[in-house]
Amino acid sequence: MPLSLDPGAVGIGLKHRHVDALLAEPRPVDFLELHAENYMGAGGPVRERLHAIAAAYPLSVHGVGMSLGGAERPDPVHLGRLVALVEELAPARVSEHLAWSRLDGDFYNDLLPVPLTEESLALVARNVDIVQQALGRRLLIENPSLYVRLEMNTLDEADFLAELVARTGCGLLLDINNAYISAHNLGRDLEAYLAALPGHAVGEFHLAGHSLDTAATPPLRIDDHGGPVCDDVWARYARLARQHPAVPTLIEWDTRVPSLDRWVAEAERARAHRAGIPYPAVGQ
Amino acid sequence: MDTLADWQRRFIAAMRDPATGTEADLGQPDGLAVYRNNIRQSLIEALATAFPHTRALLGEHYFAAAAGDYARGHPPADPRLMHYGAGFADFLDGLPPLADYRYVSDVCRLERARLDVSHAAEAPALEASRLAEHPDPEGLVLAPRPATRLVSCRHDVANLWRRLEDGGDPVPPGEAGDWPWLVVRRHGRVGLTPVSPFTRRLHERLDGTTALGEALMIDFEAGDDATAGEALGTLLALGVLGVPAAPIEEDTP
Repeated sequence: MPLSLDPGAVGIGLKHRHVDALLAEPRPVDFLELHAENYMGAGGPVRERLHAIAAAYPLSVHGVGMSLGGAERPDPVHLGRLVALVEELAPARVSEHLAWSRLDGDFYNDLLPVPLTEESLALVARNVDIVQQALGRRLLIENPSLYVRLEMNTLDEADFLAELVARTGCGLLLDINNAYISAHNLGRDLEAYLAALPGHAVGEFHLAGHSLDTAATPPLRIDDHGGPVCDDVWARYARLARQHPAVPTLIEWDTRVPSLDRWVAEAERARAHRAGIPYPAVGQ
Repeated sequence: MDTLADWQRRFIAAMRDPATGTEADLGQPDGLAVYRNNIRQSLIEALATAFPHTRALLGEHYFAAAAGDYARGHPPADPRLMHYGAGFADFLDGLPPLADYRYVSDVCRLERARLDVSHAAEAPALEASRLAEHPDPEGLVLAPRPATRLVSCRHDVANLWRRLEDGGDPVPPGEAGDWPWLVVRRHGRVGLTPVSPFTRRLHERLDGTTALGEALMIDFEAGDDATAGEALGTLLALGVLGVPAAPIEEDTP
């Protein structure tokens, strides 16, 4: 029986090293998010432990390899794997990215930028539609962290996402850290961007830490998911989470992965921020 | 103005070679460098995760350089990075500085096999007792379970592998030659076992197309130190062989 998310649930990412502690009582977080591609093996201990996790926690399946933002249609073999995983786990959320990573049969392991044009919008909408049809459910699309400003853009990102929602019925995974990074790196007005997003479509928040590359000119914020959430991001989150109290929140931490206790402390900070309760910063 | 696909191809060309990423519509050079570094570094890290013993033998810096070169020439075809690096051992074989260290690619192949086996589909192993009870065991067509791999090493790396597994300092490899290993997952655990060349030959014959009786008719070669029965016993004891597609019970009168 799939487990559902309570309103305002707070979760963290699933890492192999934390599985035993996560299965102990009491459960330290409300839900777990897994990177779909890490669990697409045919069998073995990793998948067996995933089934134990699925019996204990509501899950969010977060894909990183569907390349929805490219000109190519989704790879049917990979889509089949995602459909199988989603049918197996019956997760509370399924999400992917406004990005591309596959071209001419090769996979590039990053979330590459999508030119924001009418052509791209039509292709991304087609790709999202293909995936949603295959899954038989709504997909959440995550806003990207960007490091280049594309002069060929003819649409604002928020307008692009709003139109994608309108055309496909998809939802949004609003990564506030990504929005903050892109605003800094591209000289974009963060508040205007957040205000222009279709708030009704937001089905999940992502929060994460980032780093600053001072060797770049001008310095770039890098989405490395390698530390605590910064105060500027917490401030936006506190406001948005109170505007959308039912939306679940996921704290990502994918490099320099901390102890489970430290990660859970970051999740507790999220709870405090959404409740408007002061919460002291926690050390690394 | 080119199509999205054309722009993507120019973007990838800029990822592969910074010198080609000079068109203004691809974005700013420092930003492009972030994507380029992300692609390269994530693949190096995927290889480091898959091949920790190979990394220990080569040293962090040489491994990163070799992995980076491999990543540049061999982008994954599959977003499941657990499967990335299938050709890494062959790539190491082709590196001239490693010409006197070919045992490193033996270790690399064992690590790749261990990872493949750990993610392979589950299937029950054929027990020796069930085979013995069968009225016509020699007529059965047997094949390895999905969670098994045979690795042909060119050096005796058994002691070296043990030291690497125990976290000790590496020891020199043993003599060069033909050193087959069977890598098998059973009851959730992956075991790596050196076996005789004769056992390897029987394993190769049990490929799902040949009846057991015929497969056991192997010509002895110089140096063989086992009988066909002993080799079959090894395969059964390690849990290499799967239960035949037609369940044994159905054949039992």
